[in-house]
Amino acid sequence: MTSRYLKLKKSAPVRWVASVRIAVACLVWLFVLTFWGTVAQVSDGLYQAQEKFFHSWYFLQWGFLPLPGAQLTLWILFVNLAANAVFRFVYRWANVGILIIHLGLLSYFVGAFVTLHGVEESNLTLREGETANVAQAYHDWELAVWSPSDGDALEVTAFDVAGLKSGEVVTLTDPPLEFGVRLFFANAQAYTRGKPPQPNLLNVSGINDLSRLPLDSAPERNFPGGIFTVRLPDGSRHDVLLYGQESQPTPLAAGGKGYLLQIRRKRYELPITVTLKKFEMKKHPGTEIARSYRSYVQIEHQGIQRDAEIYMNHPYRFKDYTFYQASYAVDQRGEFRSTLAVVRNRGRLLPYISSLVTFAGLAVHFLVMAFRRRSR
Amino acid sequence: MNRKILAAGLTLLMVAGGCDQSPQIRKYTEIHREPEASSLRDPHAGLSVAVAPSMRTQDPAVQAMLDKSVAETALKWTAPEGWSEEPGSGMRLVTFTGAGPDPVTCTIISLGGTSGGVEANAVRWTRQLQINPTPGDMHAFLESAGTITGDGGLDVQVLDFRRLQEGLPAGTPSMTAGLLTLPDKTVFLKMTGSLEAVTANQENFNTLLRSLRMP
Repeated sequence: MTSRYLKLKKSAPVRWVASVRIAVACLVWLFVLTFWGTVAQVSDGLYQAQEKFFHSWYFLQWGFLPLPGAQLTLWILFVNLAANAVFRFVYRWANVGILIIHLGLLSYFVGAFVTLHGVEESNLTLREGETANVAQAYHDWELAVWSPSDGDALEVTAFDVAGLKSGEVVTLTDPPLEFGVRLFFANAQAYTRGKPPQPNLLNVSGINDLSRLPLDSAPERNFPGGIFTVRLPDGSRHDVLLYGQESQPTPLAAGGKGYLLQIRRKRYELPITVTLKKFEMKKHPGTEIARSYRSYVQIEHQGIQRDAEIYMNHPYRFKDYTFYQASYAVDQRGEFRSTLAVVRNRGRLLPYISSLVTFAGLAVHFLVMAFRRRSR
Repeated sequence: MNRKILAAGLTLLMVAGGCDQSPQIRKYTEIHREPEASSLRDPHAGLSVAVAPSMRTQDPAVQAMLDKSVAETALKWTAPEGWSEEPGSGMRLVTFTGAGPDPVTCTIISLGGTSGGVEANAVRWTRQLQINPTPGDMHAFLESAGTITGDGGLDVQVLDFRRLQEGLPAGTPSMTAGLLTLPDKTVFLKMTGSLEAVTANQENFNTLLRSLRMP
């Protein structure tokens, strides 16, 4: 133990950072946030409440009072616990169990961090007999480019549109296209009339103008749009208007090659292809209320096919991906569409590992205590 | 110690710099699927006002693609007597306006593929007209949809939404639609107006459907 370490350990800042009072205050505030955020989901909605209370560093209550969000609180608690482990903990063999317990607790924080920043949530809606290998994001959008193809597969190049700014240039290498952002709105209203048509502004739906809308508190109601100057491989430039509610891509062509452009909900490529073979819904007798519904799917991975059933509390798991039965729709002719929620959690094993480490620490500590008592 | 501080500072700078990078470009292979028939993904839907594209560009190659994308067709027709005809562009081939103080508007729109199919479009149109038929009524409505065979031999499926509006006031918005399915495209003919005006112009609409022909 160096003198520098001892000097640091006794310094006022380190003693303050490693204070147990901070840990207690953080735990109490986390309790308050959990309760507050849960109640607020009723009025603010799930997503808004999560963003405000749990994903934020701070938030303004009543518009002027800054309060720490769960992310800041958890970071403070993490630093506090880490400082405790480094500067306050008494390292001796008798405490090895407690040390392991603390390592397990710290690894929960790592798991929470990985989950917060690494999780992908999307959904997959399939008609009976339909196959897909990409899931669709709930809130995120992409600008996708592909070439018309007669085959079953499209080679898509895409980039996220969130945060695009006027004047920004995005350059693709394959296909070699350049997108200059003339204007971009994260939530826009599209117009097909009202202004004289702009002669060289291309849009397949006939939209000739966009206006900015304020961001809706429900993110699924936000539809981005923008005007882009697209430079094609032959050097020609075209102004293209793209809007999130369009069902058809806008085409461009150069040198005998065509390109289709569309702003659409972000796609996540799946490691498997999913085919909905059949959807089954059972109703409570004499009512139209669904009692249960399940999807019979065929999963294909690297040429190997297998059947699976997905229903309430019975998701299908594949590596980091979990497919839950989320909802269904039926059209007026009785044709079903099943929606599966797709969650990719790269840190899904971390809570299990943390629990195992914590359990091991408890076991070691009890064994050490028992051994010491017996020795006496 | 100073080196550690310098390294930490550089790391922070790199992280901060990373926050303002250009969008990440991704490539993936997607199995091609027919667009879903929900209202937001419908070719006609999602816009605040009717579609009236004006896609003209000086580049002939681009224009050719645009023309192809909107599935322009060689379809011919004869305007009913008393209706004025206004040429369209893009996917809207033509717009007719009926005569009188309460005129109807009739459009012919051509789209590639099935464009959602009959039932999906019918459901969307009932929503636009604020009709809420029961599933049984809707099923019966679709099952009993008639067909008019034109002079050129083209079969047009007719959806007369007045049948779902019996007993409603004469000024209620109404519609009669015709769907002509061609090998690679679907042509939509829509006559909209008040219930009274649509009823008064129904024979003109049928005349228009009968006049459809391919040269």
